[in-house]
Amino acid sequence: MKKLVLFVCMLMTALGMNLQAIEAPVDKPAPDFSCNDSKGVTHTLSSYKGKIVVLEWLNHDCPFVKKHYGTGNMQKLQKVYTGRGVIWLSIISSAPGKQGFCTPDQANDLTRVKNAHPTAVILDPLGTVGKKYDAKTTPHMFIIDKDGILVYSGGIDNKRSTDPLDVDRATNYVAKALNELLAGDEVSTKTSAPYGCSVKYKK
Amino acid sequence: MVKVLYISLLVGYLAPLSVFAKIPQESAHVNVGLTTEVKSIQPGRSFSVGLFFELEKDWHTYWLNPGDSGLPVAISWKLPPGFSHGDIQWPYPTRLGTDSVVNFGYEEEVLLITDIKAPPDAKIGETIKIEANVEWLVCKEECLPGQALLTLSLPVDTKVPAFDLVWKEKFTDTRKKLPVLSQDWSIHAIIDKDHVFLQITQPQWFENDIEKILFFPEQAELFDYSTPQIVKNNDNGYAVQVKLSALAQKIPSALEGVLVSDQSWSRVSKKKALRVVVPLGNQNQEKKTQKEVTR
Repeated sequence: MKKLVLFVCMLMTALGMNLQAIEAPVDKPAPDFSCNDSKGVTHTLSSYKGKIVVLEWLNHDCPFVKKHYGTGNMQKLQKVYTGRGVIWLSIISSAPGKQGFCTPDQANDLTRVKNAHPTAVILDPLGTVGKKYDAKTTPHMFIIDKDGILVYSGGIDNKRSTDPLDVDRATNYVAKALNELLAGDEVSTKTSAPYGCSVKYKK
Repeated sequence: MVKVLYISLLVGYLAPLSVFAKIPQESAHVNVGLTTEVKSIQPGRSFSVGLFFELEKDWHTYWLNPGDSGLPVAISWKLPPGFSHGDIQWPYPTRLGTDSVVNFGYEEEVLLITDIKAPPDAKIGETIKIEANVEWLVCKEECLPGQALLTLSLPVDTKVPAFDLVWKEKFTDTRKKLPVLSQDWSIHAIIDKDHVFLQITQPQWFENDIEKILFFPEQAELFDYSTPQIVKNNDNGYAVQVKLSALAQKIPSALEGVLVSDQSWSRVSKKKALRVVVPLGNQNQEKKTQKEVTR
């Protein structure tokens, strides 16, 4: 029998806290969550303490995402930094019926076809994690340091465009922040405006 | 009966577009064309051309600051030697999107006017080719990028150009939506840790009550768009409170944007949009310090 994968993400918030409020400012502990990935494996953010974690909001049909996957830019970042011990979680918060939504099988197929190298693809069809982090666009990037502190929230780079040629002309904030963290330095650019398509949340 | 009326209106509406239709770029969910206000070019004079977008129902394209997602229309002009062009004259946008992801843009249709200046030595009798390489993004929920190379040819003539009557009205209507520059209204911006407060002092001649004011910031990356703006009536006029984004990297020295209201900002013509360029003072340091204190 086919294993049933539950489409559920849970916020690991202390009792009494407001679950609706957006609570992901930089320099503060990143909101904890526990989610299944496309292979049915559960990932709990707090269990990655001691490692650097990247959250990448993903919708493969979005032209801005296509720019970064079409040029191989995103896959390269994933490969380079997971190779250096970074946990890379691509998160799909598109609701069922909306653009970018994936069943586990579809997500696995896309990872293979696009030759992507994330640690896992997290399925968040209810938008629970996306809304907690206030993920606005695909891509919208977050970086969490070894102590569980959110140290970057924003765009992947500084070129708001769908032009593939801009990938090489841009300053990649994610690579910059990860290089600084891996060198033991403080992240110099902690925020930027995310750009891309809106996340297709459940209404 | 209603349906019949609707169809006939539609036909009536589409008919003038037949001229435009000779240079359309049909792509998914949008018609894009390069249009002209005048039928000829006079040496040494400026004239207006316009990029016209006709959007399918529920689809939109973006203002110069697209908001939380999206991309503004971009035009790259290719003009004959000696000709020069200005920037896109953006009509004020509407607020689109959802509660959590806010956009500034246009639905249904928009004309993006650009002025082109002919050199004094433009040759009489010559036909001038104007080329625009246009890139845009249209979105409903999903987004589709588009690109087109649009061209327009106009003769150089000594006489005062005749208007292209098919398009003249759209140019005129669109100009009513361009933000007005006014010395009558005094605008000041005050910044604290989380907000910018725009104090709007009304002129003596203004006797109406403004019921709605919305500030559209031109600078991207500065404000939290999903937090509703708060407008308060006070002794001098109105105060608009706009929330700063937690992701704002740095505070610029001047704030640029457009105030849109339900009343006219102009005494002489109906202008619902007011261009705002106001110093934010030397508050950069202050914000930083306050941010550090709260950490």
